[in-house]
Amino acid sequence: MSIDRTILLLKNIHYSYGKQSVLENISCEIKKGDFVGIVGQNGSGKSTLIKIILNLLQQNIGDIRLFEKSTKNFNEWWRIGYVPQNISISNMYFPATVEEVMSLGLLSKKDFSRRITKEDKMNIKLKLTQFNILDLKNKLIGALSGGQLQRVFLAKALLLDPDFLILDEPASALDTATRKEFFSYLQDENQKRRMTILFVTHDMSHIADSANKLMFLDKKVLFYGSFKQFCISPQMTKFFGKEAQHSICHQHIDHEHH
Amino acid sequence: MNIIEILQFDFVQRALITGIFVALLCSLLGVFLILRRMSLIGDGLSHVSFGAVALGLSLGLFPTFIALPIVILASLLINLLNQKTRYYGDALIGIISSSGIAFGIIFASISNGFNADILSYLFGNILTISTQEMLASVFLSGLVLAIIYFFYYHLFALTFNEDYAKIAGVKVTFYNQLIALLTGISVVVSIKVVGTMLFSALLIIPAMASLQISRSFKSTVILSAVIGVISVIIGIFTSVMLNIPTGGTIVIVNLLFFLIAFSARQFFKM
Repeated sequence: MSIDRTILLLKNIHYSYGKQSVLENISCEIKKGDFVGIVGQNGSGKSTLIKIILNLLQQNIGDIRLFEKSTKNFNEWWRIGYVPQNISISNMYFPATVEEVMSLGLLSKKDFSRRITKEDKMNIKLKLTQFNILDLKNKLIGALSGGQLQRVFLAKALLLDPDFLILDEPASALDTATRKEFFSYLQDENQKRRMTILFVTHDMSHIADSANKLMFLDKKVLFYGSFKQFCISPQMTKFFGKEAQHSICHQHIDHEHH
Repeated sequence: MNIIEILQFDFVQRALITGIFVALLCSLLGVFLILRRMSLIGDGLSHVSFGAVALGLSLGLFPTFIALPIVILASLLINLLNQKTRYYGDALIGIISSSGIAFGIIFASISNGFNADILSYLFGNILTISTQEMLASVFLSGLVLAIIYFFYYHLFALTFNEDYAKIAGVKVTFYNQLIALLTGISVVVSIKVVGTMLFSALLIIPAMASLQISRSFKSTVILSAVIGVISVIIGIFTSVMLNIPTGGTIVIVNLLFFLIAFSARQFFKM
């Protein structure tokens, strides 16, 4: 059996905002092909952790390795796709078309002057076709619905076929049907291409079916392991209460049987 | 006088060449600044340039050459303060802006008071532009235009979303400084065209007009440039024909374009 490469390694990450501690002693290892769900309440430090991983914030203490490189020296950002939180709110009135937004997904692989070529445009077209949103190509992003925006940003994040996809609460704006489709697509990419996925959500039920590992975050890592382990974890029993834990696990197992 | 006759004058030709370059520069930069919610920076820097020009006049030095380094320094300072204290950026610009005017008034009264010279820096006097001034403006504008052309996608990414830009490998701090620097240069080259008091108009109005009716980012940028350039051309001819101040006329033409675009948006529900 081949040993899978480590995609992300977090060692004792601490982060505080002023005197307020946001993350304490976060450690974990994510290997190639993992589909990790980070679950936590609002304010549990999920988004902060993502920003630290992406080098948008600097941890106070601790070490991060992305593809076995320190984030300070890491320059292969094209290997990482990222779908941020609250896309719709911050960019509602920005006068950019779907095609233009997609073209930003190519930026990390371009050299100086970074022109968008005909070939790039073809690639964008292909990706939009794959996501069934080619008809949106020339629309302003402000004119899209939440679900459409989500698809555009996922398509953008996947434009360079990244090895590692990071999603920050992407499913919260989607209706149930679209969400199911969204997850089945992610599972597909995860299984066929062995794309590593890190998925942040506040709702366990979104992720329990797809992820092979769960991290329960509340400033610290309360739990990190498989779903089966989650169901028998004494810490999680303590956190959720026996009934709630049982009901979450039961729902999921029911799902598997169907 | 008809247009052909007006075009015969050397000073009109110089005014047109300078005006077109400066308008192109300001209207392009304006799109990026407005979308980054940084349009106030132009206002602040133009007031600083007033202080610098007054200093130059009181020392008997060529004001534009004094203004260039001072405004560039101020632009980098505003950018630095903006990054250190994210939440009060607009108030900080307000402080720098009013300080610029305060120094300006003091320097002006020390030298000669508000004479014709200082008025031309306040409200522009493009028809009196010399060949050297024209060449300097064209050179600086050309430089900034080249930078915008080569770094278009970096600037687009940065304007769209800073986090995205960072992850795509765009050096955000550097480009923020670059934008501030370019704004500083455009303030100085605009002094002769519309003056320090009306600079913001050149920066903001064409871009705002374009934003009303644009269908993509690229078209916003191009349309803004077109509106800016046409406004300067119409403004110069109109002011010569009617014998009214050129700077003010250019701004009013810009304003008309904005009103037309704004009404079109309301009317067609774009």
